[in-house]
Parts: sequence; C-alpha cells; structure tokens
Amino acid sequence: MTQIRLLVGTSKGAFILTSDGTRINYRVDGPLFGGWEIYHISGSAINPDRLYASQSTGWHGQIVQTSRNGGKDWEAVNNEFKYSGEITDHMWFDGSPHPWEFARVWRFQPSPFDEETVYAGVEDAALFKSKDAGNSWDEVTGFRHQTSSKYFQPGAGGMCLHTILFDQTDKNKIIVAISAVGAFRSDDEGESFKAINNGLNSQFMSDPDKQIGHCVHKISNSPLKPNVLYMQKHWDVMKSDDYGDSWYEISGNLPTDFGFPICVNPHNPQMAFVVPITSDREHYPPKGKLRVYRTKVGGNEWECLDNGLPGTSYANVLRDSMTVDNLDPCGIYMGTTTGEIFASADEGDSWTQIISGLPRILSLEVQTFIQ
Amino acid sequence: MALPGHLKVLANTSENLVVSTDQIPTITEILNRLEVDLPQLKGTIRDINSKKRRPFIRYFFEDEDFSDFDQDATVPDDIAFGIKTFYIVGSMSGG
Repeated sequence: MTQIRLLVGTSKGAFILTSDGTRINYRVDGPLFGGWEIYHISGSAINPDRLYASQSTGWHGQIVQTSRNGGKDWEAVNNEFKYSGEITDHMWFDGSPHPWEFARVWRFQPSPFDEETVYAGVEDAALFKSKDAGNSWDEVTGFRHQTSSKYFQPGAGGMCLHTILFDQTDKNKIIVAISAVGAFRSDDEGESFKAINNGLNSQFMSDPDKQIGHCVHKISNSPLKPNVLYMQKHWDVMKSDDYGDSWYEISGNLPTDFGFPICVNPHNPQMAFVVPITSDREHYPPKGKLRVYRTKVGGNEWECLDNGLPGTSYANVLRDSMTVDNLDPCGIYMGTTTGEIFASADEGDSWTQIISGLPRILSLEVQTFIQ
Repeated sequence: MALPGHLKVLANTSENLVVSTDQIPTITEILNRLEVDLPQLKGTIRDINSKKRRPFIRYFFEDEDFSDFDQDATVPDDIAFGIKTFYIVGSMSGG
C-alpha cells in the first residue's frame, strides 16, 4: 500500500500528516514538542522510520531529537555542536571580525549510504556529521577550514547552511549552500570543498567575479540527473548542468525572480517549481496571490499554477517549506508562513488545501512509501 | 527545583524536581547533577561548552534573584535542604 508522510516543522512544534496514495485525506498527529521551534524534520532514505528533528528556542538553545519508529517515540540525543580547532573569525554585518558561534541546526540530512550517518547544516555556517545517529557530532572540517570562510558574512536570515545534497551515484560528491555566502562542493566525501559560484550575479556585490557573498536561498536536483542543479537565489533563478561548476540564469518569464524554495520533479529533471515572491522588501507574493510556477523545459518558460490556490494570500513560503514526493505523477507540498499546507497530486496542475491554522511553517518534508 | 514550561516538556514532567547530591551544594553542582539525572537538559540552562548561564535564563531562590550569585558558592541552607524552591526561569522577552 502506498503511503505519504509529511514532516512539518513549525514555530510552535512539529506535526506529522499521513495519507494514502490518493493524497486526498490526511491524518494529523501533533503538535510534538509543543511550544518549541522545529526548524527541520527529516527521515532516512534507508530506514524511513528513522527521523531527526531540530528543536530549539531562544531561551534554551538547540535540542536534537531522533525517532526510530516514524515519530511515535522520540529520544533527545547529543546536542553539542563544537566547532573544531581554534575559534576563528568570520565577518560580521558591518565587516568587522566576529567569532564563529553556534546558533541552531537548520537542516538534518541523513546519508543515503548509511542509516546511522546524518549531516547537520548549522548557523553559523558549518557542516557537522554524526556516524552514530546523533549520539556524537564532529565538524566536517574540510568545509569551514577553507580559507574563504573568513570572508563569510551573514545576511538578514542568519548565516545558515541550509542545503545539503548528495549524489546517490557518487558517494564523494556533497553540495552545500549558505545564505548570503554561496554554494560549495566536495568531490572527496567532505575532505575538502570548493566554491561553485561561477556565473552567479548579485547586484549588491562590487566585484562580479567574487566567489563569496552570493545569497543562495535553496538548491535542488533530481536523483535522475544529479549534475543538473536548480538554484533559487535571493534574486534570479539559476541552473547548472555540471554540478555547479558554472551557472546560467533561467528566470525567463517569471513575474519576479525573488523567492525562497525550489523543487525538481524526481522523475523529470526538466520540470522544476518555484514560488515567486514580490521582493526582498515585500516578503509576500505579487498582488497578494500565492502561486507556484512550473517549467517543463528546464527553465526560462514558466507557467503559473493557480488551480485551487487561494484568491488572496499574503503568505510566504520559506526555503525548506516546499517538497516533492516520489510518486509518478509527483506530488508537491507547500507550507506557508500563515500555517496552511497546499498539496498537488498532479505535478501542480491542481491544488488542495489539506490543513490550515498551523503555526508558521518553517519546513516541510515528505516521505513516500511504496509497497 | 522548578523548571520553566519548555523544559518541563523536554523533561517529560509537570512536577517540581528533587536533586540529590553528596557534594557541597552549589549552583554548579546542582545543575551538574540535574544534567546527569536528565541528560536531555544539557545545554538548555547553561551553554553546553562554557557552562555559563544562558542569556534568557534567570535563577531564583524562591522570590530572590540569584542569577549573578557565585555559581561555585554554597547555596543558602533553605535551598540546599529543599525548604525553599530553586526556580529556573525563562526571562520574559518579546512584545
């Protein structure tokens, strides 16, 4: 029997929604960890019942929760994220030196190769790895210890490492991205990383060839073509055909190319989805109409998907709050800052609101069970 | 000892806690013992590395603010013997 499980992180707890393959009716469980911010929940591709949740508050800091049974029971595991080596400086908002400080985990990305291995993308930007399901954490030193990290500078959303992508055909490749900094790739399983920002153009940067300082909001790909990357940048929707070695713009006819999330159809690397947002000043959709835009041809030509979406909505969709399932045709799920989740079971042609009234949605992941 | 609401959720308790120690009862010792009994609280009251009180946490002995009390000094007898309650408080902030 086919089953869909949505893992919802909100500003006041977590929710788990389940449905069968029709993706029409959903059972809602939660809130879990009531009153706590849940930045991200994710599940292992190897054992989907192994879940990780990033739980935090400004008062009490970071907690790491893990479940072995799909979210029925949870256990707090190690929450010590200690930067390796001497604490050095990055640049502060005003350009002055500022020491690296851990703030929170933005993303847990379980390894597709080993059930017990999970990566954490954190603020201040660093990558951590656990080989024992969260019971201990070590910094992936090949990333932050690169010389350019002293030029990292936070943006308004914090200096967060929010994207961690693997290539299921090549264990050595790891791609990460950081808000207000840029994208990076390892070709040796995290031993070293290099900046992959050639072709990005950020208006506020004085030197167009500068590698560091590009505000990458999200990167996605399809497992069928892991070398083809789609990026929603602060402004501009970008694409790479070579694992990020070079980027070109595919914003085309979008009403605005500012936005946060971007997703790719897992069965069709030419099909991608974005949610245009008016601007970095007005964090709401153009004309108060929340719409998803889809390309079927790899970019530049985008169609507006509005069948079933609300007539008026000034909600935003955050960078980790849109996701796609593995069914064919693929389902798309979008969680808003005003607590609604919209779902499409037909690649975006039609949408249904499956829940409303949740707290601000910070992240949304979907697990697909096909038996 | 009384925990703030968020930490009661984390500790899975709605009651005040009793922390036992055979060492000199200081704030450091009490919190060390609390973290042994409830390891999920590590880092939630004090910074996990520096062991300094977190910025939005205050310590009250009954109704008296002891947040800046020497962490390694012996606490008053009323607290040590459980006559008065050691409150961990999440300070009010926001609008």
